[in-house]
Amino acid sequence: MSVLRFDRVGVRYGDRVALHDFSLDLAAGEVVALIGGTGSGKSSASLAALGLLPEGAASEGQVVRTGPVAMVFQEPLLALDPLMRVGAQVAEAVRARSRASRAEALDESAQLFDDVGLDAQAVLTRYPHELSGGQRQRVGIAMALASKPAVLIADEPTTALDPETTAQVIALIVSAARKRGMALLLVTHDLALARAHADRVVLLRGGRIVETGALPGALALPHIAALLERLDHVPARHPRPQTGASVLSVRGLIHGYGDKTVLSGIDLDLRPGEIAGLVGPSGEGKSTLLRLVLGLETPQAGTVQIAGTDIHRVRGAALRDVRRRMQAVFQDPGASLDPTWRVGRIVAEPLALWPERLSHEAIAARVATALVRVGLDGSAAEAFPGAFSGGQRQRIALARALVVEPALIVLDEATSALDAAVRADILDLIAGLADTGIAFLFVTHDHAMIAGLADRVWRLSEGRLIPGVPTRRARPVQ
Amino acid sequence: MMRGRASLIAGLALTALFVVPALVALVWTPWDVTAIDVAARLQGPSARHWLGTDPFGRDVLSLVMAGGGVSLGVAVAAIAAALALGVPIGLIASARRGWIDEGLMRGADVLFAFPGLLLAILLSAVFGPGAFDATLAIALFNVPVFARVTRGAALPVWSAPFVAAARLAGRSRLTIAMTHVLPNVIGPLIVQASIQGGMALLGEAGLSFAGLGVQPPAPSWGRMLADAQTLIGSAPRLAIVPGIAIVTAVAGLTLLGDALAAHLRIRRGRA
Repeated sequence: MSVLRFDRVGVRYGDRVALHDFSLDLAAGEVVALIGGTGSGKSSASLAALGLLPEGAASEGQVVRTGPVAMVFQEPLLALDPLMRVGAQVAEAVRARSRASRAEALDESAQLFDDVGLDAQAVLTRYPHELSGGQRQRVGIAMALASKPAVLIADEPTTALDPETTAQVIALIVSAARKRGMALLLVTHDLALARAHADRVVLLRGGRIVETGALPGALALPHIAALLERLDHVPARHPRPQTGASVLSVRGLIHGYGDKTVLSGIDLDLRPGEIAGLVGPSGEGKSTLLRLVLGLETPQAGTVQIAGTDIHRVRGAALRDVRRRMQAVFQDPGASLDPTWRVGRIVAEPLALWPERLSHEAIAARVATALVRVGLDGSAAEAFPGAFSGGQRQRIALARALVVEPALIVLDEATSALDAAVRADILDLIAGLADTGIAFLFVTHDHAMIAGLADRVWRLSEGRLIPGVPTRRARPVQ
Repeated sequence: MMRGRASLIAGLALTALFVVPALVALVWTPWDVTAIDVAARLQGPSARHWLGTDPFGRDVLSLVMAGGGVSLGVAVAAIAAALALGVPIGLIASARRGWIDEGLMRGADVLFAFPGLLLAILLSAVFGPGAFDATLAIALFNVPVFARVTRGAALPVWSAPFVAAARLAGRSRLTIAMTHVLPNVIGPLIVQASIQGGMALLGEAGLSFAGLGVQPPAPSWGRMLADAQTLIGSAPRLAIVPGIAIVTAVAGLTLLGDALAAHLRIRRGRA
């Protein structure tokens, strides 16, 4: 039985067509994944289903709902009222549907909290900011379930969460929908999620349906298959014997804030051309370790040696020399390049560390070389970062790191903001650079990706490094 | 977006309406503003005097033009001085958190809490009333405004990854403040400066009206209002003309500030 039907729905914002001729039929108990990248129109479709299109949007066609539709939002912190206890918010949603008394509604919300795996006693009287991201999203789900919907729409419900919590929250949404016989429209850019949970996928691109079909058969459709290949892409690397002295050598690193010990004795070594992964949940000290390695913060005890020099024991020219051997690429491609600088000036910035003074021509030549090395045109130097896509900006950030010919590049979640296809290209690029002898320390949440790329993976847990996920690539043992 | 464009055009037009005559008045006015002609006092608008004459027989049009120059000069000088002092304070506070930040910002709070008029009276007691003390009072009043706007806009910039990258490139805090942070806060500063410019014009008019600002015979809009006060029943024109000039100028600068702010938001959104 159809509970939600899109009948040739179109959405336009001024001249821009966000969604065109979109038809889809959801039956009770069905899980449909609507996948697509940024600007594919997937959010317009979910907003149209809810009748929540923003002012200025022109729509055509019709959406037929045979029962209530509820939504699980992307950012639960924005979807919850910060000044209201979460129990009262869910009870409010219950009362919006039924004639329940205040007390009955609170009882029902306690039941809903149990259903979504929250300890009702402990959580009901909390405010949203007192909860973790995962707990907040569970409250969001409870609130959506409170209206006893026939259709649940989840629009990128886990973007704000780390991968471990993501898996739990998605599993919860899917099982809640299946248990209650609701239809679930899972809107996501993540094909892996769709593959794991959906009965049917719809691939949107540029506001149009490109491919659609039931799983697992749909995985063989050409566009979806191409996406999958990029998703599971393992960059080719040419194993080279681990020779030479350690590029990075960390010994007995201890650090904390106030009474809290974050790192309690870290030892690690990286050799030229080696890619090492560092994984672990948020809040375990990965960022702290990075800041110490990069010399942005001074450790309470222990040493960080870059090519034999302790970065925390030197100053002046010696410090500049150490810094030149180590560069970093950060997570957010939108924020890691100064929007007021031209790309050429951005890439040239670390050349301030170069031992001798370089002429304008020498700087321009090095910048051009670095840009070409990351697969960009040398003429990119003239433009501002705003003119480039996320993937291109990460290439520019890599060029900025490469321009001083470092021995070590630290990658802080450098691919997590990129979609699958772009990420695969950047990983290929990193693998190629490692083959030229540059060592990489790659901090990431993405276990599958790092297992395919790295020579070794550590997990940071309770302030110590323990061997992490096994890698697909076994290095020749010396 | 249409509204932003309309207020930009309106803001520019209204601003030009008082800036252009004020600039012309620097080199030429229809009549000499200091020339007193008692025989021609309190005349209505005529072909000789388009806006009539005041109780001393001076040409009101010439007075409004020249007065705009004086008012504009005070406002621009005051805002420039406030920027010169407030922006470095805000930048330093944002760069050196902790007690330096606390100290600078609490100092700004005190200055901010101090009544502006009291400050002006104090300064005119020290320096004697005149354009200088009015400029200084308006400037001091605006220093904490710019210090706060700068600090507020600069804080998120300091935690941006591109600043971390600059530190990895061995740049000093000072270099980073000048090359990365300042260019990224200039947008909000321009917006705030144009809005504060409107306020400064109003402030100058108020101070001169109260006798704490520009002194006769120098013309100023506030001065003209003060002179017109006793004649408001017989010659309301003398109060209305500078009044309209003040409203036009302040509205123009405020609209301009709003339009610039909207323009910057749109650009940010696209970036």
